[in-house]
Amino acid sequence: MSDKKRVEGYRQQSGKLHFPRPGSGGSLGTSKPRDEEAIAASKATEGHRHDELITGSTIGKPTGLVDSRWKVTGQAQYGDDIRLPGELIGRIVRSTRHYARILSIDASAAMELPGVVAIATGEDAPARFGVLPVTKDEHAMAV
Amino acid sequence: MLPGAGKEAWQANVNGEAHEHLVDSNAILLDVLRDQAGTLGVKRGCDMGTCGCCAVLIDGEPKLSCLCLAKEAEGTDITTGEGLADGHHLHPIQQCFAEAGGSQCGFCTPGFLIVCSAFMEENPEPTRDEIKCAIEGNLCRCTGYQQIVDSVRAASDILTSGEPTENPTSAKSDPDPSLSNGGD
Repeated sequence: MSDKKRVEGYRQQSGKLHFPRPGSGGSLGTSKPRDEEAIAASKATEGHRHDELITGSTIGKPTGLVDSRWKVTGQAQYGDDIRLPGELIGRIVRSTRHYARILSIDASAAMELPGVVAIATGEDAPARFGVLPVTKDEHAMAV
Repeated sequence: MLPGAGKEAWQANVNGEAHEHLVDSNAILLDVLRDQAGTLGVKRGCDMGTCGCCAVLIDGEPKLSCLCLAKEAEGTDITTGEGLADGHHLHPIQQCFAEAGGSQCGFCTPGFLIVCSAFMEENPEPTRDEIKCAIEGNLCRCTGYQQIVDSVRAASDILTSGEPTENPTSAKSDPDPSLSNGGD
């Protein structure tokens, strides 16, 4: 390829840029074409041909996910599948009344249950109102 | 879980292995399989029988393990997603799900595999509509139903003819057939 065909810069007008023939190995002279026979066949035809037909490469062909074998055999690990030693299980307790105003929360009885390690209410949150920049009008938990 | 549930011995064949565990008498089969039998391929999706992610084969019948007491499955043969493959050889439906993009995030895949494998046992050559009816109890929130139906079709071709089709996806599911048939 002669240097006259190469257009410098990226703001070219459409139609002025020289594209190499598909399958020829790209515009660099150092890269090697992949499939000599297919390239000869592509030169014999006019117009656009799909890359798959020309180069015989993986372009245009369906390919399975790299982790599809794990997923179809149940080996893929999701958040609920990860088990660590000594992990604690959290549970959310919601109000039993709709549209009720919470005046106070007495968690002392729950704390005395066997196996309960900690209880967090909205009073433990450092910022009770406007937790995230996108949720400035929401409480973290019931206060 | 109600307090005071007594522990009882529970035994079943899970994926061909004899399992015996001490479980609560009101334990759900899903909890037993995940926490005690260790088959984490059974997914907990909705925990109320809507999504079908927790489907297992109990004596060859697909059942939702989140709606099944462990007691009901006592002494049965349970097959989960891990048990479908024969050693290192994947079940044809697993092969086709992997190659044809039937699993995207893969969370619903074990449930789909169980349901589809049981469905193809009774209907080896299903049509697309029959496949859609068979998988209506399973939800895929990646919404990859098109590829799932393609996978089942390809798997039924393997099961009936013994040979895989050349290209499990593009010929049937390509919206523009001229793209895939443009060559010589």
